[in-house]
Amino acid sequence: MTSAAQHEANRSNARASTGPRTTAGRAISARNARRHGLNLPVLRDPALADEIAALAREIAGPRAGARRFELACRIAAAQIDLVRVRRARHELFSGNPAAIARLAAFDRYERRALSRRKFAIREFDAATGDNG
Amino acid sequence: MIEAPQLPSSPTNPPPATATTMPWLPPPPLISGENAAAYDDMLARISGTLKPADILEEIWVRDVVDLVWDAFRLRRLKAHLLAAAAHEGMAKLIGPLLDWDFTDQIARRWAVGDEDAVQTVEATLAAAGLTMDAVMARTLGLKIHEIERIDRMAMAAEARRNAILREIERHRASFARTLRRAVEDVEDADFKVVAAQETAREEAA
Repeated sequence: MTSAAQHEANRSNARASTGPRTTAGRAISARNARRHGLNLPVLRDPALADEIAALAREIAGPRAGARRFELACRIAAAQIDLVRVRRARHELFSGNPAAIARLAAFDRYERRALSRRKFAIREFDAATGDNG
Repeated sequence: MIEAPQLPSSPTNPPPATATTMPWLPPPPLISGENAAAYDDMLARISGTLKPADILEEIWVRDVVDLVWDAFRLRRLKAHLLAAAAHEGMAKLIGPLLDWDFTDQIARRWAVGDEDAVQTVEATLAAAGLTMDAVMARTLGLKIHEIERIDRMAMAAEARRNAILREIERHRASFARTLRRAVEDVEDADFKVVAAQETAREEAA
């Protein structure tokens, strides 16, 4: 059991150490728990938005209407997500081929992206058939 | 030096498929020691067979190639894992037959081809009526969890490859239906135009 003096010392010490204070320090500590970032939805990453839009334009074609472009965006987002997972997996594996145990952890992200892409393409194809 | 002629791209002469890439395609999944030319060759052969007709099919073709490559690699790594761990299996196998204090040392020397160690090991195995199969069986027992994990990953890659091939078939069927409907619409329109023209001619006559 802690004495009153120890308790007071603990509180005093805790007040003295309140974590990083600078912007750079806070930015670093904000990533302390980050492992690969694959849980972050791809649409929340502004760096990938241009890639998604470019791919969606390729998929939808030059004279696509709003609905067709929207469906193409869903395919594109899933594809870019898949590329992100595979790139992360490849970086891990090429740096350390013995990391096979950790590779399995990427499986569920890949499975999820593949499933989203499959259903997005089916919907896109169905819409194309309806309009065709 | 004679240079190969540069043929222009056309529908009948498409540019060769390579692993270079658009940002929406993953990097070629090559790791140290793997042959990039072999990967490009596989990509060209599978592209040549599947003949991707649109960007979605191009994406799928890359998926299929990468998954085939992954499955090959995993099976190759499994064989290498067993070979690399053979001295551990050997040590466990000959341990009860020899002085335990020297078993690990003999097994390691056997693994690097030390002649004395090879002779000792062969004599020990022969005396016990064992062969290299017994060594590999013992090694497999030691590495069974890693082997199972690699097998599961290889099977997952193959299952994904098959699922993608089914999606290509479905997509092509859908495209074919759309195309057939478009052709029928065009034919119907032509028929109406011809019929209307014939009716007008008959009335004029």
